[in-house]
Amino acid sequence: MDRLISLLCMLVGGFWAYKGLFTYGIWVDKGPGGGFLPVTIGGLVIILCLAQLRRSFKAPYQKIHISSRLLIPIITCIASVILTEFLGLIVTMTLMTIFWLKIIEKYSLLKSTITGVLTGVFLYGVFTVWLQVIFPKGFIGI
Amino acid sequence: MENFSFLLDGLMTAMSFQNLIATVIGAILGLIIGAMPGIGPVAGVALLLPITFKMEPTTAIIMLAALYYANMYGGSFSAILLNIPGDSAAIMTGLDGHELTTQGKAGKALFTSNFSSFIGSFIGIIALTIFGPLLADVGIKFGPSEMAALILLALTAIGWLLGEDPLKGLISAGLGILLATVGVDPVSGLPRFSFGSVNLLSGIDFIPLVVGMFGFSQVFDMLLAKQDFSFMGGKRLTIRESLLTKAEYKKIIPATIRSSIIGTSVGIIPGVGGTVASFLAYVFEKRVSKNKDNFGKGALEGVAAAEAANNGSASSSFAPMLSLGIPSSATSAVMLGGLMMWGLRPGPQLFRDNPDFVWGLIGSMYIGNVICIIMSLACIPFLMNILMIPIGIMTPIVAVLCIVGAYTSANSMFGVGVMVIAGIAAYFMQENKFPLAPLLLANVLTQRFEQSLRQSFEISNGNPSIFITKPITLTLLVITILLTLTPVFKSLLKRLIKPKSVD
Repeated sequence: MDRLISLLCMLVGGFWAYKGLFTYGIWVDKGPGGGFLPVTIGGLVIILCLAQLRRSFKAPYQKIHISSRLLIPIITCIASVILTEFLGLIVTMTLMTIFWLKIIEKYSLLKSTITGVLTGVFLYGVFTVWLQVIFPKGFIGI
Repeated sequence: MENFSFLLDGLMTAMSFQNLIATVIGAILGLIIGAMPGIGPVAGVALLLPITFKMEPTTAIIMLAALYYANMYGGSFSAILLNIPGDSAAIMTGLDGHELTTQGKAGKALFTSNFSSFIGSFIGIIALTIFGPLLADVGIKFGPSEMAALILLALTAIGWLLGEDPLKGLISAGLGILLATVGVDPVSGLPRFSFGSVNLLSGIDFIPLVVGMFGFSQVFDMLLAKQDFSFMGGKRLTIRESLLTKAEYKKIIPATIRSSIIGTSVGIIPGVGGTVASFLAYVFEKRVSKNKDNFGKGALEGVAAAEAANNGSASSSFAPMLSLGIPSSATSAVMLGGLMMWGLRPGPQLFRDNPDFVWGLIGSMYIGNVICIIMSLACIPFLMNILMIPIGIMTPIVAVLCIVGAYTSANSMFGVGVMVIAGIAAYFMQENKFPLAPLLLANVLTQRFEQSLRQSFEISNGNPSIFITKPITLTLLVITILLTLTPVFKSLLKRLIKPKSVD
């Protein structure tokens, strides 16, 4: 994983340096152009990542293990973005809390519902009523 | 003497029932907003600005000012208890503060934070009162080259300071700088690395980024039960248990005073703000402290340094804002907009034309600071209850707060997307010991650094000698070079000493 992160960072550095050099320009009108920082820092990131890669190859290889539980928050977030369109943000967040507690954390339905509803009321009170943040409302209108 | 009489008048103005209520409300709102992960002072002040629109200007700015510095108190709560900084200035507080929480010393960390915040704010307000106009004069002498050198000093120290691995720290800082170049070129005004997205034209929003990196990444940790939030083992902490011992006071008082002075001085420099202040104070304290090896592992001095500097800077940053009309942070920029909204023109004339307003505000800061410390200390047992909540219940609540916080700042689901991606990246980076704080701090500092650097070259017509002919710039650059070379000198010294010790 260490190597993968270094490689990804190197790619980011390389892309930034390339775009900085050929699109934005390092030196424009007697001064640093829009590409000055991307080229210098992008170049530096590449060098540092190469050093890190070299070091990681000297260290013993570690097998990558990614737990499937890591997918839970990602899937939940994607689902909540889609549901927000129809149910509104507050209702979606309330339902998300209830389902998460009931299905993933295996709490009782009563405890999950109470916690979910309290979370929803808190969000509504603080963000909608007090701070007057305008959230997507969905067909329920909350 | 004249200032003292003005201050007395100001205190009288601040003590009026209406202004006192405004201070109390501002302090309560500030503490709550500051403690909420992901909202932070900028969003808080911005959201409350319309509420104060119908108020009398002095009352309105008193309320916003109370909100602003109470936010600084509150920002440390979530950083210490949940390792989610309420704003970027609280990142340094979380380094030691959260470590102390995991060691079961959350009460002491919160008490240290409040105590240092109070001292920092107090010193900051005194500086604003006595030396305000004078110190603002010094601040105005910081042109683009001085500013670039100062930020460079902060930037170069980041990677070396944080994490066990300087190489990974530097890669992380580099990424932070690259991400900060997304948006619009600050000089030409043309889109840069926006990938054709309208949402990226204003850059990567800091709040979704910070909520993702420090909040959402914790959701993964909590799911895998690597991070147990039930550290207290069901034990309820009281204010008495949070109080510090004589030995602990002895440790933190010098650190607090030193850092308050650093923070106050940095706050007066236009455009620098609390993040740099807390960072510089932490670096300084780490270097001078007898307990330096414990920094990052739960040192009370680390919490004291970051919070004293942060609050000192927050208070003293009012000097350039009021006397010069130059904001020192994004939050004071919002407040500056508020002043203009009420028809006031911040600048040297403000002290002359609206003394009631200016000195009323300064007077209210003394009162507000006392209100803040009382309320923050009273809130410790209440906030400690957060730690009693089982990890299973905390996980979806933190996830929900992250989603809502990210949505609120960007006002679109794009912010939620940024937050999720940042959270995933941060989780894997942390797992592989790439420190996150350098990335975020570099990200915050870069835009101003680039702007100052390019302005310096514009002024000098492309001549780099501007950085060595100005004494302040040169001094800052020499310090930067010395700081950068310190690890090299250290390793050389170690090599020289080693053979002798073998002999």
